[in-house]
Amino acid sequence: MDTTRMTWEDIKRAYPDEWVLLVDVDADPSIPRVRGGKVAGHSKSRKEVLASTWLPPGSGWALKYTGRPTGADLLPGQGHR
Amino acid sequence: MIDVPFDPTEELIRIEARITGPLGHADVDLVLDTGASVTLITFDTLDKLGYSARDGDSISVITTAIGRESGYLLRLQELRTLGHAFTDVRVHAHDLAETSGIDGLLGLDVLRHFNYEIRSKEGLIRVGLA
Repeated sequence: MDTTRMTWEDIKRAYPDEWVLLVDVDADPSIPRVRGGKVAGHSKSRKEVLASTWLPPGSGWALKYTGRPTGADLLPGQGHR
Repeated sequence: MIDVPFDPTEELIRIEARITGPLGHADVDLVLDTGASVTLITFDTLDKLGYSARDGDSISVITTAIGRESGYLLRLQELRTLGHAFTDVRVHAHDLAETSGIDGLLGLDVLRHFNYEIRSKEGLIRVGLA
């Protein structure tokens, strides 16, 4: 785990087109909006980053994708509904 | 009234949400989807928050162009998004493609509880407060 707290802009640059799991999250909880945090895990796979990162019960975390989402294949098959 | 920004250059309107579960809370990205009747969250994220299929109250099915995807309906302790918080909100637990880059869909079941205006060129959602 990278113990350095990073801004969201820095995280996007350091881990392009990856899923990142953040802890010690700096967020405005009212909207909410993530401003940064510590990268506890990162992967090209959402399932992998969630499965491989241990989080203590009761903790707050964030799961974010640093790339651009695509609507072409939202569901595991093709098409949306 | 609050203004929530989004990136207007992306294909989808990606917004942030906080989901609270038995094991904590998570900030995730959802797509604002006025074509979805019910909000959807991925299995993986719900699992990490301490939810499971045992918490589901019924099976749900989403029909796609190539077939049917099974999941279940369950109630979240809290869902917070666009400046509003909802408790005991019912959502679909389903899978989404890894390549989608999102963790769920924010559907009309949540959106109908407040007024909102999507200003696409400006990349803003203007949200009325309760």
